[in-house]
Amino acid sequence: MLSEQRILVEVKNLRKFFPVRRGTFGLTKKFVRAVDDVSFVIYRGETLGLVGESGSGKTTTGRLLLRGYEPTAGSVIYHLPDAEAMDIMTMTKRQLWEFRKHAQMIFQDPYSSLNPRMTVRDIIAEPLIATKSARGEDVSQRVIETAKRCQLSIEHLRRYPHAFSGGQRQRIGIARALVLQPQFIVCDEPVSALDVSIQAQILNLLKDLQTEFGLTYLFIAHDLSVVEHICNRVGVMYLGNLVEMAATEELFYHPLHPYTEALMSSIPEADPKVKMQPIKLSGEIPSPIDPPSGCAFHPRCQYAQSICAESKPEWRELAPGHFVACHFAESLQLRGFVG
Amino acid sequence: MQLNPDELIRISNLKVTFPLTEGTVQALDGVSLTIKKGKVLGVVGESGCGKSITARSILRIIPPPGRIDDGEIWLRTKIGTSNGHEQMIDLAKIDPNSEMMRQIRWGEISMVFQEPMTSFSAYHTLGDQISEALLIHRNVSRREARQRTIEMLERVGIPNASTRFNQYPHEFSGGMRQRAMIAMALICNPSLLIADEPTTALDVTIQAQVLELMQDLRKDFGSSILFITHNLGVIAQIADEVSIMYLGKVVEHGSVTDIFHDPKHPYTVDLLSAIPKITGQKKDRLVAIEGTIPSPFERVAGCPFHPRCSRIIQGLCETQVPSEIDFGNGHTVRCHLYSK
Amino acid sequence: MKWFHLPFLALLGFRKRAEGKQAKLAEETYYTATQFQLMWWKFRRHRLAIVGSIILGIFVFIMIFCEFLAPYDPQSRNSDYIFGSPQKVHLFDDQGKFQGLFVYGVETVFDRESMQIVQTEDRDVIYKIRFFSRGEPYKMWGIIRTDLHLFTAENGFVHLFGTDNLGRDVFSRILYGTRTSLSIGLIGIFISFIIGLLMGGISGYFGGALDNLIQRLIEFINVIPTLPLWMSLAAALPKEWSPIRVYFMVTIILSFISWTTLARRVRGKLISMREEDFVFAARIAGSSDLRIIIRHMLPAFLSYIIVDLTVEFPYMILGETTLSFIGLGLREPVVSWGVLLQASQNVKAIEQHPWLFIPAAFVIVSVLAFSLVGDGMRDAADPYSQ
Repeated sequence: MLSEQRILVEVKNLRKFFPVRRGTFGLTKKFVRAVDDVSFVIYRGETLGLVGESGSGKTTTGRLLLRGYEPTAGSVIYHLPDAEAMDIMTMTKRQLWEFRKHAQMIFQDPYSSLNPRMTVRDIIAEPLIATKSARGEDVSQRVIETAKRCQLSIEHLRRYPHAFSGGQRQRIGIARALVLQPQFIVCDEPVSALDVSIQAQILNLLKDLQTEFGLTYLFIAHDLSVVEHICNRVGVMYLGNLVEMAATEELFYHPLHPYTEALMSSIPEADPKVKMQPIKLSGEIPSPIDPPSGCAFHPRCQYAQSICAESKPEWRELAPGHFVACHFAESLQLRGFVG
Repeated sequence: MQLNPDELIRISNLKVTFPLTEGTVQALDGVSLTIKKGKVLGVVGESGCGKSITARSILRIIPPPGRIDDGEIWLRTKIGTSNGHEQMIDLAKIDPNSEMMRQIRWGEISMVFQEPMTSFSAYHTLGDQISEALLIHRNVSRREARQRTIEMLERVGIPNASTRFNQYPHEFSGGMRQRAMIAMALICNPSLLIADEPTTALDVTIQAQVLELMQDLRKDFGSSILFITHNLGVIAQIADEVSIMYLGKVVEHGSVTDIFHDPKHPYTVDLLSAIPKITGQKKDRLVAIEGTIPSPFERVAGCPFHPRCSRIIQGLCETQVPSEIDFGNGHTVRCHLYSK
Repeated sequence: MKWFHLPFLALLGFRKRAEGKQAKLAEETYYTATQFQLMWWKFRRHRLAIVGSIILGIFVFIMIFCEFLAPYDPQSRNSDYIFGSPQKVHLFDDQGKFQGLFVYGVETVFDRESMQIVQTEDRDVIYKIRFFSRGEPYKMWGIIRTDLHLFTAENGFVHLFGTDNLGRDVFSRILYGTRTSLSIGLIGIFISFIIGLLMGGISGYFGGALDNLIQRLIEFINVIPTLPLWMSLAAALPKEWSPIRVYFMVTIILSFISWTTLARRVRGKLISMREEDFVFAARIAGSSDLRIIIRHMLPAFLSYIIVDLTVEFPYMILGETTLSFIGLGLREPVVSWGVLLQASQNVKAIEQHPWLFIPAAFVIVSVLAFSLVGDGMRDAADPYSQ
């Protein structure tokens, strides 16, 4: 049972607003509410998926978990084995620098995430050198080990990134994240820029590495079939809010939030005999600068009632391990994935 | 060349090369495709397989220095005839800058691009850009063009079309812009619509809506669609027939059910097992195709897929190009496994 | 391998058909090529830029070795040949006899009809041109005392570009002027590089009010018309200052105005680069701010800065020339292109002594060469954008 598992990351009321200036002379200061009060936990050794459409705040959440951005509010508490619980949001620079050894990141774009002016060896070695985890011969040793593990050829270490295809570049990115032997890796859409046949190689590699090193992943993606394949639990984000989170199978087949239902109905199944019947969402995703009142999804929700515009639904655990933020989660009969 | 009555366009043995300062890239190496009237042909392949170059060859807009070396692209059209009868023209032979080709582009064949952001000019209103096609290709007045554009915008599901007509592309969301792009592509009622990864840049819910829209429009307008994508799920949902391309060649072609339920070519088989399927059960590793797509400079001898193929026949696949084997019902495959 | 590799492999002369080892080697060279190698491969395809670099190379050579290349000191006068026109260089004398390179002597006659002194070639006197010969003594770079020149005339004089109103050799003066004008450009560019990097860096890195202040300052400097600003600043220099002090002040005045472009560029690059994935990745990897700036940001925009500097260079030269031409910049006895051109300020001068206008050709050629090189560098600046 999930609740018996040990928590690795605990996210509490996380918020991130980016300031934007509007109006004449940029005098009106407004905020993009990229992440607006998000709370969840990640268990040790699991893969937690985070899905949502562009602008839903999933990438920002992933980056906040590593304090890549300074949060507007909230805390991210790590429960590392053999260490006390620590909130990375209140850490000093020095503590944060120590912490980097435990949590790393894999990026979406295998082109822009590698410095084109550094050799593959230097790219993979950077975390080791920057955190002073190894020096001298030891650096080379660990770079070679990690590169081998990610199925990179050792002769290629002196090459520059421009010599590689997307799939190979993503292996370099994985090796960079892995070289410090972290506990936790944020995978930000690691396969969405890759070809189908290469995507399968990378997904397999990520799975193998997880088993081998006991890694915990936060897996951000928009391709729902990839998420279903690799994740134990999945959270759905909409306009900076978490709307639902549950075990993968539960979420796909028994969604409790109308937005999850719409997402599930839109998956194009690779089978011509199963025609999809997408639920049409009226209107468009509102701007995160002026999000709708109450439930952010209410203007597009086919089940919306007056209360939805008035009060923000509570984030609650409806069934064990199944969280949802919807006023009518108990009463709605929603359709899961049909396949 | 005579096209069968149900065929709109037939490409045979098309070869396109890119001669660079040193060395030549064979982008298309003998591609043959047939698009039937009112049907959707899906072309699937990974990067570098030549699917976009195929589409661009039809419109004769291959980026320089690419050129058609060999092959034919026969199109059935009324353009260029005075009496309204149909004629067959070989698009591969006519001058890409000729009046004829100009009329065929958008008048007969139109295209929807992947990136709806960059396919519109930022400096003109969307309505002006869409109605421009009408003004050029159909002899209509400005007022009528505007009227028909607004109707078309409504038809593709853009609310408040008459207000939206006067807005600029940046005022539209990605999904709406792609709808507008489709409106522009259909405004002259073309006989063929080429859609090059039209939903790749869109979110899932928007993608589903755009796909549904294209299905509806096809029924209404009777246009054929050449749908190019790397997403097998999308192709299963929209296509009638599917061609699988690999390294400038069509390796397998068949009806959508044949391809998805009775794939023959090892590449098709592997590709289908490489995509994660939603089953609700715990699953193991995916079947990945080993290796990477070879460099475009390397010309792979024999079957293009043999370096990555798990069912390679040693001594045969590396040396001989497999010929086409017909399984009946239009299901053809280029693979030595099936030759007698 | 991706499509964007193609032009590069072609660039390298990578032959698909050159089978085996050689092709593999070429490929590996390309794969392990550093940023500057890639830039060079791209740059060398730009023919005109190569021509420009050769010309610049010559100018730099002149700048360094002008004492040796010039046959005379810029101040030494030849009272026998005032306002003398350029002497023609011959190989054969009137009898058709081969003499090596030589010039004829000069005859000064008073023409009664035009009431003017006319100088003509004296066909009886031959001054042979000797290479690596002894001539006027000078101090090379102000250190080494020597009298070796590239060429001098035996028993006489040689003025390839003629002489000015005091009988000074225009050719020698142009060579010395090249040193002054180019060095003003170089020092000026260096100063504006430092100011630009600093101001742009502060602006882009710290942001906020400081950024706002610097940006407004840049705008303020940019809205003032350049020429009047130069003029007022230059006119403020006390007349009694030594020429060398004026020289440095002019350099500073010029760079004071041209740093703005560079500062803007640095700021823009810094801001856009802060958002780059690989910079973010470096931060997550535990890299310090300093390490990120030195290891990731600086190499990325260094190439752009070099381009900007190259493009800015001609403006420096033109600025100096303009100021000196109108008499507000450098003054005699300092020799620069602008100072030389001062002598050809009126139509009469150009009509009667057109050779005094030759320095203009040097200005034009150098500006052109810099522009060509800048063009080629701009194309090569980002070898990864394909």
